[in-house]
Amino acid sequence: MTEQNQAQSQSSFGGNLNLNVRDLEPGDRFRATSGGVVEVVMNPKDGLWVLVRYIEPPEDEPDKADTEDMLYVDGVGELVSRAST
Amino acid sequence: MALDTGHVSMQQYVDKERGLISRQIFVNPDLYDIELERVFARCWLFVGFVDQVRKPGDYFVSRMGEESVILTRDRQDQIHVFLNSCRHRGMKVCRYDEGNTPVFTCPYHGWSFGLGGDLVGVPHYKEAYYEELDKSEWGLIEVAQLHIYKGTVWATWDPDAPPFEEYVGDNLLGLGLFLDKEDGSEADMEVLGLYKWVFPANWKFGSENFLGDGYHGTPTHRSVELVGINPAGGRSRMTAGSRKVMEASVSFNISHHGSGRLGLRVAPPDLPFIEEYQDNPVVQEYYRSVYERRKQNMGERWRLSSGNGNIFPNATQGTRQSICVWHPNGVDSTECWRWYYVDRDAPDEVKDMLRHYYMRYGGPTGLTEEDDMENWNYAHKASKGTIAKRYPYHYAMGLGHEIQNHPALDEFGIKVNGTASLSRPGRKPTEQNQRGAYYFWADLMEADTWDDLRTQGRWP
Repeated sequence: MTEQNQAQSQSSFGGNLNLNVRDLEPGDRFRATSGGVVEVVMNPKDGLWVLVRYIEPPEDEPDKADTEDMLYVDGVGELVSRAST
Repeated sequence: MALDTGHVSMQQYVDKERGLISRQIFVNPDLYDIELERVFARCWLFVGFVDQVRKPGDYFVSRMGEESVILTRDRQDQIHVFLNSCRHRGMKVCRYDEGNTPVFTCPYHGWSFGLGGDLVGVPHYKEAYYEELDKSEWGLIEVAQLHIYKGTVWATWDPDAPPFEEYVGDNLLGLGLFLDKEDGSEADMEVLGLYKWVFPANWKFGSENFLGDGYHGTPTHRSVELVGINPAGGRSRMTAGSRKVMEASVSFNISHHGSGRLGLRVAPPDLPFIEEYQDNPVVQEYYRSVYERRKQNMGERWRLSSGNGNIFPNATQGTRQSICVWHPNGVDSTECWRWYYVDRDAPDEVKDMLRHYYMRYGGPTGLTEEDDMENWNYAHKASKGTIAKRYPYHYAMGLGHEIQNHPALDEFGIKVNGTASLSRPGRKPTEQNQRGAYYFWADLMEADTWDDLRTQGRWP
């Protein structure tokens, strides 16, 4: 992906515009924009929030490993894997 | 902050000696604003049915006064009622009528609330709020009191309002008889559906029609009586059996704390089962069974039944198994929500028969309710004029003929703390219940606190 395309795929607050958060299903994994990799635990399908569990914590917050958090859409980064694949 | 309603004398609008009520209370916008504060923000209001939130996450968007509320059930099976307004900037956090969800997320800035009302998500909480926002203080606003009564959900914003059953007072018996299954066992209703519509008249017209107006039937509904919409066939709005029960019973109008019951009935002990659904054997057998089971379930109290009623201010029970709320929608407008329900274990044939009957009878396209609205709409408009407003409505029918006891009430140990009027045998409509409602309305509008009502002797 070119630098320009990558910029166009980000919302003004940094979220991933290539991914509709409503489409995420439990088990899907993605990178959080604040760091780390998370797995979807539950998706309320409101298009703004997902309940996630940290698989890999952000480097500066190791305590988040295996903890659950409500992650806002702006914090949703690159998709790592789908639960269904 | 609440609207400063100050102390305004309301007794000028109700002439208790002569039974006259000023038209101002129906059409005056200043009184309407006070009413929202002093009536709708303080009284117990009907919110919905437990059947509408059977599973955790189920929600139903209802209304209290002019305001949208969410009825929901959390993961601990607790039922809640919340103001449907985000604490950040006021946007509705739920814009669907009903459904199932794990959270309510505001579409404006994204604040998100759990099923227990707690604020669980604040976008950019770390970066923009520096984690200084105390989320525990900014959950959804919850009603002060909630009460579940026989499958129905009631709530009030006022922590000092009397407990629900004390509030309903003498009319608790009638309300319970209305809500319980037709065979007299504990209520277990299945909501068939809900009509919503708006009509151009003050909310009180609908409420008073069901709380005590047994006088309007012939002139208003003559046409529908001639057409005949009852489910057993033939002329009339109601089945021959229902009419016979009514005519054979001793019947009372009951007024207490502003609420009214139009027909608390005591049937004679030898009242037989009345065959009237000969065209449908399943329905016929069901009602024969209901008649027998009612005797088994209730003992001698099977003879008690309830007609229409209204729990003050605006929750009507009527039209067989239906609850209707007359939501204030501006002084000149009412948004009506009418639910229909059936006993859950009734056969499908019975449910289908009732569903069709309800559609013919009530709601915006029901023939009987159309008749009523024709009156309310024109009465309201004709009462707004400068000249018209000078002249009060006449509510003195039956004034001075109220009773406090009667052998038929004594037989079942029914005490009257408010007032009762004998409406049958014979045909004795009375406006006792309307007077009771408007007198209570005036007292409540004047009283700064519920204790004031008690100390002033206005809470018998």
